[in-house]
Amino acid sequence: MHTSLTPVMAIVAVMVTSLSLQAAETPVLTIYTYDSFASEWGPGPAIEKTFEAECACDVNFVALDSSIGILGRVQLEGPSSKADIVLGLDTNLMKTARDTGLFAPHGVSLDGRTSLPVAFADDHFVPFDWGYFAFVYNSEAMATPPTSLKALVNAPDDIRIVIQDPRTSTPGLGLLLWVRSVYGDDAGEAWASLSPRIVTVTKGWWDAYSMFLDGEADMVLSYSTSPAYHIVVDGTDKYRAAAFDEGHYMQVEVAAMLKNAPQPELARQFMDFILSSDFQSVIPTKNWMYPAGKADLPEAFDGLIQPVEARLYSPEDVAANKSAWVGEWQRALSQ
Amino acid sequence: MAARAQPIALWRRPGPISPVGLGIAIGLLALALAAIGALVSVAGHGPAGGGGNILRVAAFTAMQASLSTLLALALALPVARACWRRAATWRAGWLLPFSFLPVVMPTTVAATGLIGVWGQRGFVSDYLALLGLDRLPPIYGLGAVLLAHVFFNAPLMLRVLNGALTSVPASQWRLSAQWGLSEWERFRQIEWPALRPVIPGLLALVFLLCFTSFSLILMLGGGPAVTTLEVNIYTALRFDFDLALAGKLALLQLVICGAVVVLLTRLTGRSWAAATPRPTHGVPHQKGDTSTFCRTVDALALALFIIITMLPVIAILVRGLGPYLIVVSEWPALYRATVTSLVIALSSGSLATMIALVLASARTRRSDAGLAVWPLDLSISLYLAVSAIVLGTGLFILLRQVADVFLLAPLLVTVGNMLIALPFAYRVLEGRLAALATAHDRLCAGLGLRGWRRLRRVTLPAIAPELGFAAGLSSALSLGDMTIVALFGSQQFQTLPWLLYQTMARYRAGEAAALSLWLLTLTFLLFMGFTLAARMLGRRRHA
Repeated sequence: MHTSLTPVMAIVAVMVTSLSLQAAETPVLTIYTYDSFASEWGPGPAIEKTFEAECACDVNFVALDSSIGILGRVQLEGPSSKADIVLGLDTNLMKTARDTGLFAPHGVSLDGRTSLPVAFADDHFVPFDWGYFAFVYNSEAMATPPTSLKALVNAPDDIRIVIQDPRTSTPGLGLLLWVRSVYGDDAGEAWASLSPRIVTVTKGWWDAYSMFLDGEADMVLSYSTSPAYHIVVDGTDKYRAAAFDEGHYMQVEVAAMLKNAPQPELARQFMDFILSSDFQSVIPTKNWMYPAGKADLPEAFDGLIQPVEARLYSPEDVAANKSAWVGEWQRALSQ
Repeated sequence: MAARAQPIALWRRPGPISPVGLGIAIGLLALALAAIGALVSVAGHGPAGGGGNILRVAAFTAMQASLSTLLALALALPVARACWRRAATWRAGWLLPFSFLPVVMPTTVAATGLIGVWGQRGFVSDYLALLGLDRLPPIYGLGAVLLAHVFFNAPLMLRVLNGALTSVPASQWRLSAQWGLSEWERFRQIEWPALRPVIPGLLALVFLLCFTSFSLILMLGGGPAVTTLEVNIYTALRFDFDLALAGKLALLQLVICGAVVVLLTRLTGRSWAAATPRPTHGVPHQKGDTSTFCRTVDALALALFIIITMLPVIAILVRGLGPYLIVVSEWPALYRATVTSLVIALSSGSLATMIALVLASARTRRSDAGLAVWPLDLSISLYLAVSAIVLGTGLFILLRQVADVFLLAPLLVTVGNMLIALPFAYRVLEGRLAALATAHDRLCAGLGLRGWRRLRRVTLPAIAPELGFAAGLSSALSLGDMTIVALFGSQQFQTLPWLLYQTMARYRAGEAAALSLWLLTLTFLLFMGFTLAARMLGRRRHA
């Protein structure tokens, strides 16, 4: 028995070693992103599969709890971070991110490859998707939603809305900037006037959205693309986004590569891959956002609102003012 | 000094367990301070200042936490008495096994349950509408926060207070029945002396939980006016990336909570000593128990308790039942996440219970020997006052320099959960051990039982139910954890709450409700498993 087992074991040992050597030779591209991007229902798995087929590498998504969580993690890790790429920051974080000095120019040409409603040119960040913030309502329960932000701010008290906290949530910050961009220095009064209609302010997007679905509020701050989810997955078009006359504030989500990326060549290749149709075509029905590059939109996106104006502060304006503006918001709602 | 010569005094010496416990306590204290220190020492990028209204926030937080704690006690106390004296006639004891569920629930899940009861389309509003009355107005604000805190904490208080009542010797109940003590007299002479020693510790525990409340405050508070220091800590850490400010705020939170813990511990004094084994059958009928007034009061207390603490759990069950359970059951990710969660929950739960046992024993021995116990109480309670995000970030900064944090993620999540469960396990064990110590000291001295043999033969069987409760509670707590895992989590390392979180982030309300139900069921099974195992342990040792 002993004699017959030994050769078998030797073969097994050789196979295991060669396999592990092979595994070690496959380079790994590490991408920090937010949880829902990497999840089974997000775009992560499909993108991982396509890119692995063309790069002969192993894509490793590291899922963190939010876009601000991604930046925080990279800042904590500093130059020794294992990340090659961060995917899931937005324009509001770009200035802060660039100032850390941890990111490298991507070297990707954006000319003619993007389809954003605003001009976007940046040597460090590549946009991968975008969306409009909007108030979503149930058309079966609410026949005539407000048609402008001002109408909502001055609406009768029986309209109840639920929003997110700008300090903890991306849409929450989006609304803060939206109100500021419409009202300017009068934003504080606008918030005070809106205050009686705010049922509650939640930590995250889903807390608010689920409250709305449960009938706790008439409208919820979300994205103009949210109704597409309900059309595609739930088969209902009763949830609609209210189009506001002043135009809608935007969110542009971006990716960047790290200066000290362990796999700089692969990282550069991935940065270029972001705007390819293989990546972009996954976005609409997996991340429920508009693709930042060129890709066909599914039918469910046809009926979505088309805002008259896309509002967006520059990353520099946001970085310089957000603390003061959040203070203004806090004071107005604490009265 | 002469007293020291008596044989019984041998058991009054703290013994080797005391330095071991003190060592662990100092280690825990050092770890917490190191984590905060790491934050403060890393230069932040945030704007300076921003702490103008901090004292106002701290004062509001303390007010909110005190109110929540007192309200929870005000509900739990009459319910504990009702549960105790109606255990035989109304079978009110069935509430107890469910009583740990709220405290271990992820807040997001609990909030859906609360809204399912008190919301615009909730049970209460539906019932009012059925009667032709107006639906409830939106509940959000300080009131909703207080209601939620009572929901979370009153059941835990009920459990501990009920435990204190069961340790009243049957002989005292018999005397009280014979003398025909009035309701008030009985409370003052018999029940209060049993309840009093556990109440300060309980108040401290619940105060800290309410003081550091975070997601729930944001969800139900109605706006930034209702806030806690923890919200500012999170904001400093995440929104402003001002680590130094976050560290300072964490320190302030620690100081306030530490002061409350020390104050309340000093109130405790010596634990109530005349403990005997629990009576196995009902207590003699007390005068007035069958009066209509007394029965009405008990019925009202129990009904209120069920509405506040049980209905939200039922709302979660109702939401979760449905076709989505089948959808979810077909996900391979569900089984992977379940296994991961169970492994972490079982290991951190057992670890927390073992360490809590050492610390609680050390506390009892030190208390008997007249040594200070506050260092133990303080160091353990601190882990309720250090927010998970501060602890996690601090540990991350410290460990990053010496190890690969990604490889360590499962270990870190286990240890993190263990630290958070430790104060609960400690409170549960400490009360019972203190009560037992005096009762057993003389007996064990007489038999010459000491050290390991005493632990195995006498102490373990006697505290088996508490051991089961502590282990069940600790494991269940870590099964429901969403904070620690979010700090260290990655795609390869997925727990059930993390899966739930990902489901929610993609609009999937139905699946999220089904997953919540699954998580709740698993929590309950895990807890019951520990309780049954403890019961078997207790029986076998007695036989």
